[in-house]
Amino acid sequence: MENAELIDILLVEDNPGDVRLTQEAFKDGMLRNNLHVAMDGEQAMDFLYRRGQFAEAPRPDLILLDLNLPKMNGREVLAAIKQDESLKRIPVVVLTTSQDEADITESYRQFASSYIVKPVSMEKFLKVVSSFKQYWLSVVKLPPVES
Amino acid sequence: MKANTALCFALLGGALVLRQSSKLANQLWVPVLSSALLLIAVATLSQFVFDIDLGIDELPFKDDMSSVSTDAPGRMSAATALALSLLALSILQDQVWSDKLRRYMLFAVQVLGLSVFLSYPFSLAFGSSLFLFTGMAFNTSILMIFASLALLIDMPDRGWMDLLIARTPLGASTRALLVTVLLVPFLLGWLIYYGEDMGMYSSSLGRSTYTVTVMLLLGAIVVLNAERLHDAGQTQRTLERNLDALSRQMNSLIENSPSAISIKDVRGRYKLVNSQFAYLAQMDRDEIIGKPAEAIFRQPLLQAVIETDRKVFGSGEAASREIAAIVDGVERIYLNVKFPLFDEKDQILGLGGIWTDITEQKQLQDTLRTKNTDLERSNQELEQFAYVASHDLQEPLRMVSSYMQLLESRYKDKLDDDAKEFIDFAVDGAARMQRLIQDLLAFSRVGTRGRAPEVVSAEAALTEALHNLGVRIQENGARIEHEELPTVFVDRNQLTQVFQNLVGNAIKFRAEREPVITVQARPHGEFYEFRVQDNGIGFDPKHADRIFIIFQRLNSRETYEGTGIGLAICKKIIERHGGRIWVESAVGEGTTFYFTLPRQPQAAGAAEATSLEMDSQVDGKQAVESVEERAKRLI
Repeated sequence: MENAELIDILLVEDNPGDVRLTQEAFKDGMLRNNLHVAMDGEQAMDFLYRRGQFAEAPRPDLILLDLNLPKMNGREVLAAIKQDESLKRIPVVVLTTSQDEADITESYRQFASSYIVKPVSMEKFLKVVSSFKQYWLSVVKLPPVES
Repeated sequence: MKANTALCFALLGGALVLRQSSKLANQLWVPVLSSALLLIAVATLSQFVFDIDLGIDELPFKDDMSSVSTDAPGRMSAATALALSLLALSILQDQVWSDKLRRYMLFAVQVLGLSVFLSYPFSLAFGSSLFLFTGMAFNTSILMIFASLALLIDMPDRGWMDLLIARTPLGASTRALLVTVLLVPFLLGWLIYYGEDMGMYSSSLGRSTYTVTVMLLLGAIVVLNAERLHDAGQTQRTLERNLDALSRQMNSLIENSPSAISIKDVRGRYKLVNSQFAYLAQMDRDEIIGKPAEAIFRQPLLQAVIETDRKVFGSGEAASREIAAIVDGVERIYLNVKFPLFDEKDQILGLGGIWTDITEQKQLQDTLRTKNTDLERSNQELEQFAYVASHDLQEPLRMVSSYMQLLESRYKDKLDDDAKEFIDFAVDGAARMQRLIQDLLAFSRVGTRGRAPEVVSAEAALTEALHNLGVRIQENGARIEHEELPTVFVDRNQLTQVFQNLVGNAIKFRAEREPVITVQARPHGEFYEFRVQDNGIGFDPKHADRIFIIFQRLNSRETYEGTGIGLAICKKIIERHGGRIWVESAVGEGTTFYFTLPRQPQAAGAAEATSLEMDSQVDGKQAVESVEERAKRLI
């Protein structure tokens, strides 16, 4: 738990409502995290490559990725990350409303670390975020930060 | 027989044997031997003709003068010399003279030999009256007959000999006739002559008996033969009639064929065409007959015709291709089949052609292809719609319900009971809509996500369904009774879903008493008829059709949860497999669902097979999950 403060999470999500809900859910827990937001696929890539407004962005330890995004969709973002030598080690967790089998299969095929379907009810969503944090931020040992 | 005659027969025998040899060296001896034979025979003959003595008669042996009185001792008879000359010539000249001429020569030898042969038993003194027949020996005449026969048979063109040695009924009867005609008068004549000689009757009685018998015999033969000829004539007339009928039938077939038909000779000129061909060529039939394709068709059609013809003539095999032709100003597409026509010796004597107008088929094919593309696109659109429903429609719903709940939890203290109730309604509505969307999606996926059917055990599918329903079966204390179920040709996951929905329904609509559900199957033609029977609350049979319609419910939502999708999905699954589903029920007495499924692939039917095939092209698998389970998860 001691490295918890160092964890930077990139949330790639186009729906402001969802962004806010996720932020609320993360705030609710006991851990303090740096939750960064990219509103579409292109922004996510800019963040990862530290381009434009994200020139000062940290390298995220974990990426939360929605699949349906404007401009460059989540599948393309996932593929781009996993094809890039410097980015491929960052765990990507897909967080989406899609229960489509094809989406699930394709995401794992593209090396997603997990696939989470967003629950409809707030209560369940809070639970999901809570277990997510428990697992990824304290159970799992993430790859060391590169210089 | 004289010594020279014997020598000649030795030469002749040698020539005849060596002629049959396949070795060239042996063949070369044939003319040598025959020439020697000819030399001796002609020399002897010239002694007779010019009345000279060349001193060749007693070259091999000195003749014993005591046996026969003659002015030239040791000389073979003139008849023998003539016959031997003919035999030698017929061998030597076999490549030069026609078979017909040689046949006559050999036939003459035959007649000569036979005459001498017959003269002996009659002791007739032909020799004294005709110089040619002087003293041909009896054994010489027999050898003469056999030698000429051997040469007659060993000829490329045997002529009438073919008829004599043929293994046909005609050959057999000719042989029998010949033997009768030759043998009977001979034997009869000899008998009568013999009797007469013995003094048994007078010569006038003998002659008259002989004459009458021969007349009767010949008469009988003529009558018999006439009968046979008549029969043969009848057969031929029948054959001709049949042939005529056949040719008329063929003509009718050709003439009435919807395809254009033509027959060409080896030089590519039309010999026969039907009216359809004349229409295709846009010419009169008379104008076409005797002309080549060049005079009938114009480019580029002509090129196609010539190429196909050349291919067929070259390969000796049939060929086909599609050819476009403008007929009556309209472009039509023909399937042109060309095939060689052979004579009885397998030589190509012409070429047959059939032109079938396939314009309509082609257009249909194109239409079908377009329709298929449309269908595929529409299927894709449906897929897209399903995706939109599952994702895009749910996003806003999540927002509504999530923020309502956030509102409720964050502002708990500031909201009165009314506000909380309103929020509950809003959350409940959003959840219900969510379920409707999910169910609609599940319903659409029956077609788009179904897998190709295979032969599976219904027993295994039921077991899986019961396993999935485990908790609810336990909670309700339900008893499921079933006999061993057969194998059927279905998508196994979908069959599991049908069982799960029907058994789940039976439990949901249970009566007060302990739920008892029986599952049975019995063969019904090419199908199995399944039956899921319960002892639940039942319903009014007038609603029997309504319950299979999507989102139709018979009970209030307050009493029984669910959107009314389960049975609609069952119906869609069963119908997708070519089966049928129906229900019998009475209020308070329970409900029985029936459905049929094919036992074997062929029972599924062509139409269903197509739709199944199309479905199976979409990957992924239908999540088997009853609507009720899904609803629970969503709340």
